[in-house]
Amino acid sequence: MVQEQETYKLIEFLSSISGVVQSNFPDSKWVEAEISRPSGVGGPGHCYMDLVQLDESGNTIAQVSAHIWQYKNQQISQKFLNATGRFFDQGDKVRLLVKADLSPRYGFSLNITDIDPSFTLGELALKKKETWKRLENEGLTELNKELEVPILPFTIAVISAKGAAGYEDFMEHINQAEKELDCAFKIDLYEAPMQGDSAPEGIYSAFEQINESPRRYDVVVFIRGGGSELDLACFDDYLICKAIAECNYPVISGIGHERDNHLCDDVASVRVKTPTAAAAFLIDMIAAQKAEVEDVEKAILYIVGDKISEANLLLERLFSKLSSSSVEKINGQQLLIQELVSRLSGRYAEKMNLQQLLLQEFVSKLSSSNSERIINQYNVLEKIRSSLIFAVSNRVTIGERELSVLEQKIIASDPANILEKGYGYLDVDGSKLTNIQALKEGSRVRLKMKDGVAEFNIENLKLTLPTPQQN
Amino acid sequence: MSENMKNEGLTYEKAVAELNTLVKRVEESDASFEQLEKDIKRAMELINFCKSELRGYKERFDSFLKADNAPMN
Repeated sequence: MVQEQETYKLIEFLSSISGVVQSNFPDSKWVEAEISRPSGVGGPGHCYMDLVQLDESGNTIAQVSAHIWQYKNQQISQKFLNATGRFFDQGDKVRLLVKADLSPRYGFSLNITDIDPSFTLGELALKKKETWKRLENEGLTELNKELEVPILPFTIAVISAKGAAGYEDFMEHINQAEKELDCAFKIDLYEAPMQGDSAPEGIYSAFEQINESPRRYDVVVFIRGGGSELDLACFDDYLICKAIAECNYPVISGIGHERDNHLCDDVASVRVKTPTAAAAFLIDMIAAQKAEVEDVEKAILYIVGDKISEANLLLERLFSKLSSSSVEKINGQQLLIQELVSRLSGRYAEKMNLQQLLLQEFVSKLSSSNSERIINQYNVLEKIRSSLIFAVSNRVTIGERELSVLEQKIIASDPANILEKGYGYLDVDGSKLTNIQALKEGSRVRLKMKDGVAEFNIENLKLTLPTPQQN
Repeated sequence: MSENMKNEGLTYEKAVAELNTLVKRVEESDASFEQLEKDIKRAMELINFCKSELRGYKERFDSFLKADNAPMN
């Protein structure tokens, strides 16, 4: 017969163990752990979670249930919130004041009675420092800074979460600027999670897509609105910094608010404090270039206007000179015209060509209105040039016609043509015979015909004059 | 006075003026046959001179227009 051993009721047994635990660990102790699966944080009820410790490979080597009773939940959660900007969450490394608690009803658990937020912040700072060192060792800290933002950054890739306040702010400023500056940006949004565990890989993937896109971008804008220090902690992540450093385009980093500083800012080509500031940076660049181009435009319009006046004056003078058909004066005009043309093509060509580099971008990227004005001015000048050509050609044609008329008259008057037809030409006493009454008895007459000249005196002259008609 | 000397210092404008005078004279005057022949010969000479001047002017104008490869275009 089996001797009956002492048997406990479960509650008695667990209460007994609980007693041992209580007596051996009567005081609360500070422990370092990582939070896992938290629930009810900062809520009106109890807060539950697991506390874990991971080895270097990420394997769990210790794990325990923990709780914050309702009466302490809001106090502890708020303390952490005040110091870090948010409630503690999955993956946070924390330092907690705990007391071992074995409840017969609920089992072993650690009762959390206080939290040390400075530990969590210190952990982040330490991790940040280590990440920066790694980036330095791999030569990634200066890589993106070597890429300069083009002077007209119109084609932009934006990495952000769609619908996020930061992205909305950015777009609002850009849209406003498009109206004010009369220009058009080309913006492609590459969506990525901008907080939490999935952020680094999602952001890295977005950068990969941008690099592989057939569209060439002027700049990549990497933005997120404000958040708590822990929310924004992912922007100190190695993977994100590596993606920025190795991006094919200069990156403008605008993460969080004024007080935030993240490693991604430190590796980006340009760092600004907020998404709004990122938009302002781009807009200022465009505005500055637009102002410069407008100055050039004014200068060109002035030059062209000046030349048009000169050409008009020249045209008027040319017309007046041409009307007198003076070849000398025409030659003088030619020199003036040549000088004008050479001054237009030579003296200003270099300046215009230099400015055309700016103008080309300006024309292609800004709306067409301003560039059309410049082109119109060129066209006006071209028309004047055509008018000059026409005027000169016309004057030559008129000259040729005048000459032709004179030539016809001369030919018609040439006695050789009359003689050729068998007629004769009579000189009487050294003058052309134009009427019969000029003939006198004894006058010396010379008769010229095709084949020779005959000279003779008039004898026995008999004139027959027509009888006047009676009405 | 030789013909060449006659043409020295001659301009298009002067040539046309002289031509008009000659035409008027030839058409209206009762000059002798010899004078008429001389006038006709001189007129034809002036016409050739004017044609040549116009041609030369046109060629020079065309050539500097071609030389202007405008940055305007």
